Amino acid sequence: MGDDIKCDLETFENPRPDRPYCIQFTCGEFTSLCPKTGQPDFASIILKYVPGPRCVELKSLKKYFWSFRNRGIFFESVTNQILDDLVAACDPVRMTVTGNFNVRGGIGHEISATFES
Amino acid sequence: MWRPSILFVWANPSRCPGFDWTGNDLNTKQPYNSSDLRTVENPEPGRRYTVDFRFPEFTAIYPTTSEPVFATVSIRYVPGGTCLETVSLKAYLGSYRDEVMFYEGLVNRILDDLVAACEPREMEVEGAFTVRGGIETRVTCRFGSGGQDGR
Repeated sequence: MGDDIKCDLETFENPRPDRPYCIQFTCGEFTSLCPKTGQPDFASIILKYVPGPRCVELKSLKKYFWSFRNRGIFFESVTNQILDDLVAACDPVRMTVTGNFNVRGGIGHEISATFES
Repeated sequence: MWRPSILFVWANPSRCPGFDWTGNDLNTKQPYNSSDLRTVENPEPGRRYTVDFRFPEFTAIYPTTSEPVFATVSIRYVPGGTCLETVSLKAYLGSYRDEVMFYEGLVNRILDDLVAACEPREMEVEGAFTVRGGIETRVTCRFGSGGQDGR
């Protein structure tokens, strides 16, 4: 579902590959669709990583997040898919993706997935 | 009233098979329709009282950039003979997800549709849009004794 959406994540060279330092992005406007009901879901996606040779370019990341807007996908899949795609794009030393989803049915969801090289 | 039909790639049903917000197939998605709004009888029509709704998950598409915009839509009204029914209100506000409109058009149309649906004594609709290009926008429209001059 929605697998034909092409959003190329772009990267640029890490200016200080010799130093382990941390980058954090927060996207407070993430939205996708519930695959069971078709109703919209909303979340804050927090991306924290220690870059390897490449850093993630911000504008392409924004468009990548938007590519989920019309996709029916579960919270757990969203979080893991984002981690997989970003790890494949920039080959980080360490990366954590946290999805903080708005309350549905009285229940809030926070899902985290981590990659370690 | 302007009803743009151009959707960008990631909002284009033909490129994004799946569900829309109602669970319908996007390829057969019906255009926006305010007749979905339902009302219930006002239990106390003789009393002037206020109803406040806040919908923090409003989203639509901005025409010049084709990018998504997000807002908290607040509705405050003094009911007349009927009250807005909240499940249909949620569906109605959610139906703007693929609409391509400017902030001002969105908030004014919401006010028009809600006034037509429930004929309130007074109503105010506010759209508080998140920052775009460093600018936070708030659009407020009023109907009834508060005047329609936006003050």
